[in-house]
Order: sequence, then C-alpha cells, then structure tokens
Amino acid sequence: MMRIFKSDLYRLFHTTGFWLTLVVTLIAAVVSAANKAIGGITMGTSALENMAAPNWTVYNTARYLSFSTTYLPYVFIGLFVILIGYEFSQQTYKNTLTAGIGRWQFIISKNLTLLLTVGVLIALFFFSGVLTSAIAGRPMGAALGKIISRILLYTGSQLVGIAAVYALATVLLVLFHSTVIAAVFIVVFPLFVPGLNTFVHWSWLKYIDFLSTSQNLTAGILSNQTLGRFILVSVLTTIIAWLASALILKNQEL
Amino acid sequence: MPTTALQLSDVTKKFGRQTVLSNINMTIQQGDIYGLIGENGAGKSTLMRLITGLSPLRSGQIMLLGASRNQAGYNQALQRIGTIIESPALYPHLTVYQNLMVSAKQKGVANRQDVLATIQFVGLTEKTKTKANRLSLGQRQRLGLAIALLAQPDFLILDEPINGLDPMGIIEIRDLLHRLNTEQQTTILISSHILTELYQVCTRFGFIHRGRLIQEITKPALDAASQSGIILHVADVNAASEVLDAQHIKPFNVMNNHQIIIYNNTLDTGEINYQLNHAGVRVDDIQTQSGSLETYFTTLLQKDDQKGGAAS
Repeated sequence: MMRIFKSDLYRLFHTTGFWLTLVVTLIAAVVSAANKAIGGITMGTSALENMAAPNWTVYNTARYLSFSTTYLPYVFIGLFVILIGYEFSQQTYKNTLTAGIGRWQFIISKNLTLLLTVGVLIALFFFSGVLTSAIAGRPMGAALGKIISRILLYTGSQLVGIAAVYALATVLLVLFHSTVIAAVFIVVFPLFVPGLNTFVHWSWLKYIDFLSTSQNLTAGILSNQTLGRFILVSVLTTIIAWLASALILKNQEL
Repeated sequence: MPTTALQLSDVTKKFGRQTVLSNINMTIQQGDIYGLIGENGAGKSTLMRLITGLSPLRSGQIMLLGASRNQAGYNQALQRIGTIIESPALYPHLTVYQNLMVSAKQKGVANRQDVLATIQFVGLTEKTKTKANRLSLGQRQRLGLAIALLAQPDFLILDEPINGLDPMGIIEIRDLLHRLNTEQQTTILISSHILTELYQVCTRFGFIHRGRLIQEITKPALDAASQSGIILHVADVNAASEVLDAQHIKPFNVMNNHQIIIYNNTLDTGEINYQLNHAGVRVDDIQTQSGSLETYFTTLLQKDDQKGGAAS
C-alpha cells in the first residue's frame, strides 16, 4: 500500500494539474480573506440567516472561509482525475493490478492518497486565508490555539464529506470506467441533495448532504454534539463505497 | 529437471453463453519462450488476462510460479512477473524516466540506477526525457517492456508486444527477448497472430483456435513439420518406416504414432502408397505440403475447422 502511495505522490508532483490546483486554492483563500468575501456553492439561506454580521477578525476569517470550502471539491476534481481517473482512462490499473496489488489495497491506497492531498490543500486554504488576515493587521479574535483547532475541525469535517462524495464517484468510475460520469457526479451530487430537499423535505437527506457539514457548523445550524452523527454517516458511506468499488473491480473483466 | 513456471488445467471461460476458452491445458517450464499463436479473437488475450488476474477465473485451475490462482499467495507470484496486456499502459504526460519511476516506486525498486539501466537495456536512453505521448509506437512498446522488466521478473507475459511494429522494431524486440532469456533466464509467454514473427524467438509454440489449444509443439518439431515434403498418416509407423528404409525413401521423420513426414516432395505419392499397401501397412492419408510456417499454421487451422465441422 505504501508503494502505491509513494508512486502516486511522485506522479502527482510531476503533474502540472496538481500545481495549478495548489495555486488556485491559495489564490482563492487569499482573495476571499483580503476582500472579506463570504460565499459558497451550496450555501443555503438558513446558513446565512444564522450568521451574525461579519466581523473579520483572524479567528473569524477561518470561520467565514469554511463557507468557501464548498467550492473546493470542484477545484479538487482535477486531483481525483489525476490520482484515480487516469488509472481507468489510460488503463494503467493493469500495471498495478498485475503487479500483485489486491483490489481492496488498490482502492484504499488511491483514495487515501487523494484524501491526504485534499486534506493538506484544505488546511493550506485555511492557513493562507488566516495568514492574509493577520498580515492585513486585523485583530486576532481568539487565541492562536483556538484558531488552529478551529481550522483543524473545519478541515476534518470538510474532508470527511469530500471523502464520501469522492468514494461514491469512485464506485461510478469503477462501474463505468468513465472519468466524465464520475466528475459529473462530483459536480451534481452536492447541488442535487439540498435541491431535492427543498421539494421533498425528507429529514434524513441532511445526513447525505456531505459537503454542507462544515458551513452548517459555522452557521450554528449544526452543534458539536450532532456533528458526530453526520461524520458517522459520511465515514460509513465512504467505507461501504470503497468496499463496493473493490468488489466490482474484483468481478470485472479488465 | 525443469521446474513448471505456469500450469493451466481445464481452464474454461465464458462471456454469457459464449465460450471463449474451452478446457485449456498448458504447461510452461522455466526457461521456455512459449509462443501462443492464434488468429485475432482466438482467445489469447483472454487467456493472458486470466493468468495475470485481470479476468475472474470461474472454471479450471491456474498455477503460476507455484501459487494457485484461487489462493492468497497468487498476488506474491504476480509480484515476480512482468506484463504487457494488449498495449503498454503509460501516463502520456510523463516522460520515459518518470513513467518508469512511477512503476519502480510501485514495485519497490525505486533506484535511479536500476531505472536508467532498464532504459538503456530497451534502447531508449536518447528518449529518457521525452514524454510518453511523443513516442512512436515501437518506442511505446519498448517503454512498456521496460516497465515489465523493472523488477527483474522471473516470468514475462507479453500480449502481442510486436503488434504494429515495423520490421526493425520486431527484430529489436526479438533480440531483447533473446537477451533476457539467455542472460537472465527469464521465462517468457508471448502471443501473436503471426507465427513467423515469433518463430525465431520461441522455443515452444501453442496454437489456439476458437478458444481451444489445438496443438503444442517444440521448435525442432515445428521445423520438421513445416518443411516441404510428403505427410503420411499410417496405422503403424514402425512398419511404415521399415518399408521406407527398404525402398531407400529418405530423409523422413516420424512425427507421432501415426504420422511420418518424408522431406522430399518430388517423389511419386502413388508409388509410396503402393509400396506401403503392398507391405501390408494401412495408409489413411497421404498428401504433400508446400513447406512454410504460414502454410503449416493455416493447414492446422483448416484441419481443426474441418474436425469441428465434422463433429457438428
């Protein structure tokens, strides 16, 4: 598993798409923080209504940027394509699987590499935004330790949601061997769930609105106590989707 | 005594109701260069995908380097092989060196010197920094071969590696395989739909037709069988040999219990038939062969088709 991890990181660092993603992530954070811009793709009115008037301290920069993290899964589609999609579009999975790597190992290591990369980029997004605020001379608003723990909480909750969406996209990728279908799913799913909920009002749908977790946390819609339930659903979805991907791959004619 | 590198027993593969491989029994000994010959769609790639684990095995048994396909140890056996299945799988935006480094890290041989040595071995040193999408077909095949060779495998499985190559490319790949077999004792299973392309490199041949392995033959036997001459199918080869010796009909070779080839097709087949019948040797069939690998191959397939037609 470590070997796949190392080879994927090598490949990632030698792909222009990765460096572009990194630059776009950093620019987005710096521009949002510098211009005091709040916004997110799936940001509902309830989230906005729950927000107090923006007060751009360094601490609050981290909070407000959590709304913008809903953009990030779209920015990171490139990483999904580079790390997992390419294997199927170029059929390079043949090299890996015929080298004695099991299907489960293959799926897990690919997804973990993706999540590690995404996690680091989300953290960089927050830290660069917070640093921009600090450089702009804004008041801290909280102790440095609290700011860091907040950033880690937002990064973690967003990462867990992204993991679930990307894991479901992996199932589609393995099933249809189509990067396009998987990428379209990543784009559509986070928009589809809140949209559907507007019409049907099924309360359980909120648990699979994976990418709204961190913004709901910031807006006060979600308490720290109920956060665990959301994370559990995301983690279970991720694991089941990984298992399903490995099982499909095992029974496929490759 | 040679060790078995690969053994297939009663391997059958179906796609829906269509049987694409039927009861394949095949053994490859260590050190063999085994040529799997068959027309497009005969089942060569399916067989190789089954061996390399890319296709689920539902019926039959495969033993690779001592490990059974149905057991966990098969993945360890796979780590000792190198493969090209259908076409080399490359990352187009990475250079030759980077493609090999990715594979090297995956196989745990992330040594810069090993990678450069492999590039040199396949003759791509001048293309080290060239992106894979800028390589010619032959260079891509060589890069695929380099990836397969990286971890110094005990067994190479190459599916049509010379497909689409120009004559020089074919010669280069053949030379590479020769060197691997002689210098590193690598066992090789290689497929092609053209017998003449593999003839010079292989030590044994297996002919696959419509999903069935219809003949396995060593190179000397193939040489003998594909020369021009007269093929006799007789009830008793010993008695027939005595008759041929007595009549000074030479040279000839006993191919199996019922077949003799006389390497002289200028002789009168009617006279030979008469002499054998006169001596009480039953002759089932007598025919001349024009003597080429292609003729041998096509005749073999035609005979199998006739058998299939007669059976159905």
